[in-house]
Amino acid sequence: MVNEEFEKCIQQMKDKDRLGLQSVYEAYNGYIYAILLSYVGRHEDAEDLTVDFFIHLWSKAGSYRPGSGHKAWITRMARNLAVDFLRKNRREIPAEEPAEQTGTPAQTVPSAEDTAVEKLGFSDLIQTLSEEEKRIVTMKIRGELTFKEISSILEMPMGTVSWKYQEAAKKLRRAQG
Amino acid sequence: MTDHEFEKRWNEMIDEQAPELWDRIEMRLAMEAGQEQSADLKQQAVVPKQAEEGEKTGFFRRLKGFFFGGSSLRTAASLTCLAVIVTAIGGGLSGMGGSAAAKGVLSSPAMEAADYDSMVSAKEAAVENGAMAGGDEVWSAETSASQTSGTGEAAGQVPEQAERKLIRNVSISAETMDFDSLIEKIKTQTSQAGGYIESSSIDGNRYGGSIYSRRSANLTLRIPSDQTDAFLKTLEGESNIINQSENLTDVTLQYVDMESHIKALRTEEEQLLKLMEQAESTDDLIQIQSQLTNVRYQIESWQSQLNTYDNLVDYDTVELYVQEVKQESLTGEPTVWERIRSGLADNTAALLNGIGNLLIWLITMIPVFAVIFAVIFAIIGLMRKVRGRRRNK
Repeated sequence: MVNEEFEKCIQQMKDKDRLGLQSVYEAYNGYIYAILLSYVGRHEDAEDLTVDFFIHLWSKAGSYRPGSGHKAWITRMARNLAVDFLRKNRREIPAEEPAEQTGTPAQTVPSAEDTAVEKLGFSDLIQTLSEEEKRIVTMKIRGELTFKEISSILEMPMGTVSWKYQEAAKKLRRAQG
Repeated sequence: MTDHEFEKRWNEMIDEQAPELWDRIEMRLAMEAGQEQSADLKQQAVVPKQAEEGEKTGFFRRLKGFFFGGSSLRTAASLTCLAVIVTAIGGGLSGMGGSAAAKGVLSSPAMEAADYDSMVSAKEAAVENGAMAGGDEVWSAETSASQTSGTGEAAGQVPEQAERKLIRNVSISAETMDFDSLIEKIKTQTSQAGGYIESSSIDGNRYGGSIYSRRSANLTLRIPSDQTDAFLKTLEGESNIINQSENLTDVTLQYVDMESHIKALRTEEEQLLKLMEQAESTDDLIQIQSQLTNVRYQIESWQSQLNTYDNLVDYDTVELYVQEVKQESLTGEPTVWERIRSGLADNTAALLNGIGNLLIWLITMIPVFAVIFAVIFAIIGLMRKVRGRRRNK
């Protein structure tokens, strides 16, 4: 969806036309769900939050400033929802910096990873990524955000974001078909 | 795997895992739209009341003050007359003497809006007179009432008018020349009315820089609802009120909600107790027991909320800010002479104040002047000496 389409949808939402929301939902349901899932971990929570997100979007349509990148806007909104959720549920907010700690053992031991990874398929490989890496890759590929936008949303230096993305991409490219 | 492939696979993965949520979203949207609507209705029910409340402080308040102190029957009768007037004006009906009383009485919803706390007595009168009124008249009177004030609609929605739960907040700024005695009077008045002081803070005299702040007090009083008007009237007499605002919150719906919640829980409790009597195994007993504890806990928590509401409804909150002044602000339009006099007085005071400040400045600056002059004299002296030496040479 390009900015103009999104603005049209927003206008529809402001006029209380659900079609606008539905178009946004069809375009971004998967994206928002993936981002939220990377934060909360549980599928049920992510589903609830995705519903919350679209309700939130519906009520906050008026606060959208046309012209700015809408993808960054909705990503930020999703991120804030997720952080709020984690705060309310008194769970630890996954640190947005040290990826090593949240990663699977395969990551912490690169040599083992190198040997094991060769035989794995794409979907298996995804499991070796940390939630944070998944988040960044999703934002970059699906959200088509720039590293700058991602670094501002995640409040993380741009270099770190770019590095993490490259690392994750490197792992995934090894997939066998 | 190329970058392109990798991106494609990632997107596929996201699409695969995405759940179907639109139905849920639509449901929530519908729910929220419903809530908004009911909130709108609630506001409709409350707003006209508040609008009329404003009037009450003016015309109706004075009228009520006029009749104040009479027996409840007299109050009801006078309110009836009032309502007759309102009905006649609004409906454009040629009020016939005989049925007028019935009409007036039955337009009580309109009247209620104007003066809710006399509602109980008005209702009593309505019951008395209503028995005499014919069916048709009842209907026409009600119609005219709703035409009259627009509150008829709201009144129709909630039948038990007299049981409305209203939280009343009054906030007042007042000034006085006799600070101590006013505070003292407020305290005695509050306890006489059966209320209490929730919080109070009094700032004493202080002199900060060139600003002299006089004493002021912030009081939060809780006065029994039926006493508030009398209390406010006394306060009006004792001090000069510069600002007064009122706020009514209608919690009837929440209140009724809570009550029915508690009722349901009580039924559950009873059933559990019955079950407990029939229980055969210890396991069952323990389970029922724990459920019972849970239910009782819930009842307690609802009840405590209900009690909070009760307190808020039974006791009006009066926030009072009292300031001590040298001269009370003028309340009426000043005459030319008064304006000349106050202008002259102000300017004279300002002039005297200025002269005083200048004197203070001169005197307080003496040490500084001393140092400056000392330095200047020292320099002049030195220069003279130097010149003298040169001449000597």
